[in-house]
Amino acid sequence: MSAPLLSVENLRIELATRGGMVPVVDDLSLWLNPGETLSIVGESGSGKSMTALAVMGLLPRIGRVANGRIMFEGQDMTQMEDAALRRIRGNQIGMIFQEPMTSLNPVYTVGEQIAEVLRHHQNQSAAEAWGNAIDLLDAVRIPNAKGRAGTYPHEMSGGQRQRVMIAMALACRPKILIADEPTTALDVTVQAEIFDLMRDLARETQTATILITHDMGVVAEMADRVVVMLKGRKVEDGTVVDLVNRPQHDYTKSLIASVPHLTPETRDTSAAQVEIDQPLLSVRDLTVQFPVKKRFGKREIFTAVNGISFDVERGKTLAIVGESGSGKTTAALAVARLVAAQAGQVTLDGTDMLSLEGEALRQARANVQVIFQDPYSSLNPRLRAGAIVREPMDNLGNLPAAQRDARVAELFEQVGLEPAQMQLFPHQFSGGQRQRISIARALSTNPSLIICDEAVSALDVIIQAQILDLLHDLQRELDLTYLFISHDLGVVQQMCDHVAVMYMGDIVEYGTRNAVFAEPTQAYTRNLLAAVPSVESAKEPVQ
Amino acid sequence: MSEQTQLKARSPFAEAFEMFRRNHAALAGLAVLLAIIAVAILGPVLYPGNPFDMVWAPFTTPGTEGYLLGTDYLGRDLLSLLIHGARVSLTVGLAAAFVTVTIGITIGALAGFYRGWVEEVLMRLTEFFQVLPTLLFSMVIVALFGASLLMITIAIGLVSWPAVARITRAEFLRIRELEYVTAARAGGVRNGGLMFRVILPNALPPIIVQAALMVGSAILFEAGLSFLGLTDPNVASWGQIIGSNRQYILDASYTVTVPGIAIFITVLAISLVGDGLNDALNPKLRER
Amino acid sequence: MGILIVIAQRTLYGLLLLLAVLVLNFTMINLAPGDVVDTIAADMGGASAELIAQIRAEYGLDQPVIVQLGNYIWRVFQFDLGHSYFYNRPVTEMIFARLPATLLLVFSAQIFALVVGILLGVFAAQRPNGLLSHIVTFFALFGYAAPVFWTGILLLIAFSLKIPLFPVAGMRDVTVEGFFPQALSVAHHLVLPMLTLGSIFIALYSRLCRASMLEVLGSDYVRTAKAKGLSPRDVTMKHALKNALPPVVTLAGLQFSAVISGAVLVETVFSWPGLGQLALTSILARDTPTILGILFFSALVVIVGNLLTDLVLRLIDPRVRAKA
Repeated sequence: MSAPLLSVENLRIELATRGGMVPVVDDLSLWLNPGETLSIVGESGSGKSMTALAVMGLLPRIGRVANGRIMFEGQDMTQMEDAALRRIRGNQIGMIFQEPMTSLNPVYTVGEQIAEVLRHHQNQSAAEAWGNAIDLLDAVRIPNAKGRAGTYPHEMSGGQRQRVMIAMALACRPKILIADEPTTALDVTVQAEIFDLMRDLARETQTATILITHDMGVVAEMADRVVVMLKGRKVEDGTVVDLVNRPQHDYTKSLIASVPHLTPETRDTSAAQVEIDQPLLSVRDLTVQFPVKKRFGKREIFTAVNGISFDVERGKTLAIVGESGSGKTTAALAVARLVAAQAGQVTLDGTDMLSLEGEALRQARANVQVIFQDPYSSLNPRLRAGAIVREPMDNLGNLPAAQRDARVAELFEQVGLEPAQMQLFPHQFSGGQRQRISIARALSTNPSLIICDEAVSALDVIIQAQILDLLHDLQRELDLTYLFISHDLGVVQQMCDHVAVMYMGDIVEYGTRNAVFAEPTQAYTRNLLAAVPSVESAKEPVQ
Repeated sequence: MSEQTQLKARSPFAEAFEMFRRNHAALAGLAVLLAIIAVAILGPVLYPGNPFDMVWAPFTTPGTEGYLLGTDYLGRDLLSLLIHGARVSLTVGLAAAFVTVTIGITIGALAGFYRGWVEEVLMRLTEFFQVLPTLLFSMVIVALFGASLLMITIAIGLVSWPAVARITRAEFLRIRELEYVTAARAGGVRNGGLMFRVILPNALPPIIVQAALMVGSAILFEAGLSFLGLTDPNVASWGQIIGSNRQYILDASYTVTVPGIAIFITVLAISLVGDGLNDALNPKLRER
Repeated sequence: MGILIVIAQRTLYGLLLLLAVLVLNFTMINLAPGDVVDTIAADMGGASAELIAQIRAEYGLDQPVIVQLGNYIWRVFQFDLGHSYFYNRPVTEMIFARLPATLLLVFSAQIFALVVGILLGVFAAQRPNGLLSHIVTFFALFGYAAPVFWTGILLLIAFSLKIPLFPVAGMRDVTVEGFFPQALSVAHHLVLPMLTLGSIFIALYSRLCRASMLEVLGSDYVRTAKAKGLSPRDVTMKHALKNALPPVVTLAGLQFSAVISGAVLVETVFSWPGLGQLALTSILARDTPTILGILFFSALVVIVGNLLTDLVLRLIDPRVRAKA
């Protein structure tokens, strides 16, 4: 076995905080062999990104390498001067980041940004570099590369921008490519394409890859070896096959178990169609449109939701799944009358929701509540947690004021928080705890329908599993009905009874969970399911 | 995995206050400001006398005959003029800032919340007032309707509000898209409540900073008007002292430099406090 | 093509604004008690009621306000701003005699403040806690906190009287002949007024530039630029600066109104022959046509300044070009 390309030995990274130097990575050792893909997996705060930044010498001003070595081509990168590091960055080691929307400079064309790397490291002339940039755009499968080279980043989609990033990072044929959560911000089908691209390119150019991710499914499909990190330390490493089938450490086990992965289902022919006698929620031909201002005040209409229909059974969960732009969130918010609908019928518990106005509408809100996606912006930062949960009761509902605080305390306990925490402010809670507050708020008026709008998408995988369990328990205890919006098929499969697949404003597939997941009838659904990275791909067949 | 729980509540304002306390420059500014306010309130009591009385020969240099700051071109006590002038500057500064902020917040909030034609109309109105040359317009108002302190305050307020309206509208536009506003709407809060109880308290940080700076700019504005002679002739005003003594800078430059120092220190102190507020209020509270 | 349409749109809009300015000011002036005839009568040492009525009729001041307004607007369209009651000359003639001086002062001060402010801001963002950065902040704050007329007087005392480097008053030395010597003389006279007027805005622009640079330097695309192995100078000047400029340029555009206000005061201190002096005397004399003319042109300068700023923004930021 040849010597490793990159070797990290006993690395310790510290950050300067008001309380002193705090370690974010401690005693980390790993190595990367030529041509292989190593994955570093962990949740937020595990130190995986910091490690990558340290390798590149790009630690933030407040960070420093306190101990250890990073060996590359016989030299210790932690001891190198910045000028020498700059010769390596972008040249021998390339890096791509998580947010394609903000990682490209908005004021230069994509061709210019790629050409810049070539001109800088390889001294190419402007014309030569431009020509090579076009070739690179072609290699990353951007159609009409020559024409697109002169476009600006904001004129491209997220997936295309990430391809440009890859082209920039690979332009000088580096020995190592570091990819820090490259597809986390992208749709799952786009993610699959990007990974295919990365796999093909790596094979062609024999580039070794360090792939940083939180998703074990991605690890299983893409990596050869994997390192698991928790709170700055390595807890386990090994080949992917070994780790997935024979995890040793408890954390690794819970990480694998928590990832909602698609389990293969066998077709149960008994219940294929959705037939509900007395649905709690009945939606017919719901249409939502937005005016889009164009030049010269000419207005165009954009149809976000195109006349969809579905039913939701009392006490069960209907999941609406789709990628970004499918209209799933818009449809759900329209049902809750938080977004205006242009046409259709929405009947909740016998009430015609779309015809209500004014005070009647306001009062009807008590019956349908929403849990939102972002734990950081769904709670008013200036209200205490107890007041946030009490707000719907203060404005709607008929519980006398004196009893509301008692009810809030009760709700806190139901969602797994302590009533003593009612007086704290949102910024004093973690992400998972904030979602629990959101859930308590949604329960406060005893609604019959709760809309979960990507309610767990922003959470770390293990916390996500806990919140999903909570939602499941609450549904059983309180006979709640959920309209569950998500882009994550694994989560959806775990949570739902029925599922509707949306694409560009239409429902393309609608049926029981078993029917849709076991044998989807539509090509789009099949593509969607195939694109989800699954831990199953690394599992050895059961003997 | 259990999550840590803390039990002592820390409101966003408490945190901001903490940050402000640690800013030495801001604290110094605050101390100076309080001292000036003390002078304005207590000064005329402790150092009585009509500042317009002629007390000694004109252009007496500072320090002679017990006149700490000397006398001006008419033989009036400069120190007395300065002390009484403090009142005028601070009063006009605070009152004008109040008018500015009130108009600005109202217009900005309505525009940012309701959008649509309301926003269009209000934004055109704001642009119109922005295009007006501020000093000239105030000069016209004061010349036409009389140079009383009230008129001056109104004149300054009328031309300064667009800046506050712009900031308020921008904040409202940003915050109304946040999920907790939608959640409040789902929780049955009415429009008025949404604007003033949900959005506005969260929109305050940059508005507060701007309001603080407005006090300083109102003081400078008033000084400019009084320098040109457009001020209430019955009240002593720092700008007016400079204006009336301007021709004599060759003989007695202190009559011009000293009042200017007073204005400068006051506005500097306010700016430092404003900066401190900016640092304290902004980064922490834009969460994450 | 698109840019011409934008210019056309903005110009049309600007004209509407000017119209509104005229209407507002005209109405306001006529609402106020007293008018120019009172001033003239006072100058004459008193006048009989018939004489006053006669003068009023002569100036067309006896007609209803709406009619007067209509007449005035109609004349403005024909580029006739009326006749000054007080100076007895056409308003356009007086304003054009003085407008160039004010324009020179306003634009040179803005450009000066922008250039210096941006340089200081970029420098301060490199070492946000350095000693030099704090000194720079202090001097900038001085310019902002000190009343502009006081700064002007101080500069006069220091560099014209105590150390006679610069002239005390006026725009140029009238004894000098020939184009280049005259231009040089103007430039010599311009230095102190320009420094004075610019000093207010250096603080604003440098602080915003510093904040903007700091934000941009922490952005993802700057991190990408560093990951590409580019030199620190390329990262700062090529990648960061171009993104940090738009807010500063936008702010400069919004400040034109304030710059003109400052110019009025600076012109008074340095006896700079611009619109400032004319404004003061005509306001005190209730010389309505002149006041309106000055307000009109000041608003015009602001609108043109805004338009120029917009064009500059389009040049440096491709995202602005994309929006309608």
